Amino acid sequence: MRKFLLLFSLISLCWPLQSALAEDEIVSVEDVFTHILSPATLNASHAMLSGVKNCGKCHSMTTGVSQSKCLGCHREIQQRIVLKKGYHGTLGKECLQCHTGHKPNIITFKPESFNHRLSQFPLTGKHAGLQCQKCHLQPIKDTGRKRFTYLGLALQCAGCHKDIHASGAMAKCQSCHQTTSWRLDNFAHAEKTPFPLRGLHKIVPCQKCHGEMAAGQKDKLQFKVANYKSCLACHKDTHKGKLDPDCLSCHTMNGWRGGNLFQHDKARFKLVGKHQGVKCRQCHADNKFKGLKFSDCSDCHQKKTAHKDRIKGCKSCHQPEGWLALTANMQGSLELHGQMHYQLKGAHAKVECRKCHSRNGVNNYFNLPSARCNDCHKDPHTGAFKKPCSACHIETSFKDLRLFDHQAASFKLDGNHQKLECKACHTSKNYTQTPGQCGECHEDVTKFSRGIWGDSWRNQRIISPKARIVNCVDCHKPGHQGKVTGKTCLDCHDAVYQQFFEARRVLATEAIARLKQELSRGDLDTPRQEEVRATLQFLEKNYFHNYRLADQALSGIERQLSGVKP
Amino acid sequence: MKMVRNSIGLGFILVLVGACNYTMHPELAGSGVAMPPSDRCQECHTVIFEEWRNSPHSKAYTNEPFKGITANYKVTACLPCHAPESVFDGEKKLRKTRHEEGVNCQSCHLVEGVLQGPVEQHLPFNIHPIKQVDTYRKSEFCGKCHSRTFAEYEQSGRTKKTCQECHMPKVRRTIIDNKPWVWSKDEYDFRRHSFNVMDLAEIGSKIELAVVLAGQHPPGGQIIIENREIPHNIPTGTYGYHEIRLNLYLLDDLGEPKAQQSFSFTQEMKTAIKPGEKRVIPFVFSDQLALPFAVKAVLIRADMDQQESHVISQRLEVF
Repeated sequence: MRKFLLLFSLISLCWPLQSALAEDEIVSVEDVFTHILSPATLNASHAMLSGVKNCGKCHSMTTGVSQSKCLGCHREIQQRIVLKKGYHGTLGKECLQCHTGHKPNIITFKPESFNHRLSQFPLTGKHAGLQCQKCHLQPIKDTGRKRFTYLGLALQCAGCHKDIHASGAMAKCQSCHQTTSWRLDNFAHAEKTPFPLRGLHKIVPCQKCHGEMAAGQKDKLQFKVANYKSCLACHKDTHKGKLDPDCLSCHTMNGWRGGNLFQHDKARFKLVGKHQGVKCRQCHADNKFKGLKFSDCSDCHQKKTAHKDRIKGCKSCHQPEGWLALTANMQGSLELHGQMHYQLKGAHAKVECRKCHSRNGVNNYFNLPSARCNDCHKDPHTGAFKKPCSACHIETSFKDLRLFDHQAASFKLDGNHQKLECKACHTSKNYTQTPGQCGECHEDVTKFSRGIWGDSWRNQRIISPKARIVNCVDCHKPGHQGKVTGKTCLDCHDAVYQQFFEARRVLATEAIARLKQELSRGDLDTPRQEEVRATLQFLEKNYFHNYRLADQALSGIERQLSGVKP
Repeated sequence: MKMVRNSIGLGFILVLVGACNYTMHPELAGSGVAMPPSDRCQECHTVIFEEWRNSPHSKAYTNEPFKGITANYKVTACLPCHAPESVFDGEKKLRKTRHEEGVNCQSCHLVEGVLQGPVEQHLPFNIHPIKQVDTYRKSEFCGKCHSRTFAEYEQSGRTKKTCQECHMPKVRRTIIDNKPWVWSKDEYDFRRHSFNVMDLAEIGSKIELAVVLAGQHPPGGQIIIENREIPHNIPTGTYGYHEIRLNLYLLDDLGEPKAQQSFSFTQEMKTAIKPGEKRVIPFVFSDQLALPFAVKAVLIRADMDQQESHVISQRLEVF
């Protein structure tokens, strides 16, 4: 039975051998045995241990693979374990717990899940995100080529980082830097240096004082600033040595301008009024602080064009409180106003300054582009006139039109027209849109002539033939004073017509007089009576403009008064 | 016997002579309040009477415009000419009776109790006495009333027709056209008594109307009116309303009037066109039409109330 089992085991051991032979890999007997006894091919680093003769270098007959045999070769690890140094020195585990000698791998170590805190160099800040190879590539001595190993990396910064500081500050990186960033945002300048950062120094970038970190010039960083107690170590003296070298006697660290310690009152020119808000360089151009002229305003102020050099001595009108804060003398001084652009006359003399010298509610005494009226006044004529306002108006009042010559207009005023108020004809302020035809004002007469006047007295239109032929102005010449002076009747008609006109006049006046008398008896109601009276008065003046219509109107009135319906 | 024969012959002659001097209707020459009505003239002169009755002369007094303008005859200065006793009076007198007949038969043919006319007595006896007077054939006769028109006529200085030749055209007929005296068949060159204004078409032929176009944008040009043959002003007349009107129409391409202008010619405004005068009237329409097609000029005789107008002449000129 035992023989049978031995034979079976031999056959089963030979089975892989047979397959190996078939692949022509094994060439010697030794190889055949090795192949039968070895669990797998040795990994490449242990390749020199292959062969049956070498099994004992790692394996013992009684205890298997012993740690001491591993460490017998791997002296550097043994050394670290002895010295309790490095990862292996502090781990306290057997080699085989992590490593194997045969394939597939010598280690069962996965970098991505490795807990670096178990090493002596916990990864913090920016280190945490690095690739392993970034640090664990070690230069081989002599050759300079790099090789990968997790061992032997120095714990100091200089192990990986280059010292860019010329001063050799590398030994104490952590005293300034943190693993989060090279930047020194939280650098306690006050504690760690003799130059506490105050005022605007707090926000000045490091390199402003400690040199530029330009590419290739990193080693120029200078952390020790020579002569740091003097401002001039960093700042230029814009005063060119003319003033007290102790800057802080005038300036603070809160800005060259802000928080000025300089008391201008100590100077001969006291800053009063608006001068207090002026920037230094507006007067002290080119940083000239000594020898400036200041006795006359014009030493700094250019003369305003508004004055056109007509005024001498600013102080007689202006005060330091502002150009517009005029002296009591100046306020309301017509004489001074006249010496400038514009003589204030008439109604202008009484107008408040701001009425003219104001734009968008802000006083600006020099912002009047010219003396044109419409800079201040609206044009009520809506641009109808091309002539300047002064062609008609004077400054005493817009209503004073004594300059306006109506005779120069297209419609000349004569006779009764001269007595009329302007608005009798000019109903809008656009004076150009005014009636020019007689009938547009004297509508009743023209309508009467054309037989379209009234409607209570007549049953048909009766046109005076002359209304079509004769124009008003043919008879009513300029200066007529309400009477016909242009052409008399006999200029056109012969003497017989004179009798006709006279007869007609007598007839009309008699009839009107009679009807007026009848009207006064008061048979009609009051409104009607007024209407009839007005009609009679109209006919009295105008009957001759349309005889036949006048006849009909009069007979109509007569019928009304005698109670007969028209 | 011979004596008897002679005396019969003498008697016949005497009768004839007596008959020649006999006036059958002496009352027809009655003047003043005794003036017979014009109807009496109608008894024999039927046609002439009818012509007169339809003429402006018969309506001189009764026409509505005259009645209106004189305020129902209250303005007496106008009346004598419109119902004159005799046109031969230097200063016209209002007839004593029958004003409504206007310028009636007697106004012209009865002078100081004598009936007058252009034709001689032609019957061997007097139905009414008649005196032949040449004045009736002359323009100055019409000028007795129409003095201003006659003055224009005189001044025109042309070889021309008399008033009668145009306004009383010649008609050949008997004087009497009614019983009992109608047997007298002698025909004479009589004149029509309608006193009408000449036929408008005929007036048109005597007045030259022309449209001369100058430009299309704006449409304008000249109207030329020439009084070629009428020997008095157009219009003429001293009193009342006389107007010639020129209406201009701007026509579009459908012939529709799109704009109108009007020019008036009257005696009073001294715009009447004198004999032989060539009146040039420039005109321009404000340019309203994209494509004005034609200008039409119409010359009319306007009437008092502008309700009726009579076209004298019209012209159309295409652009």
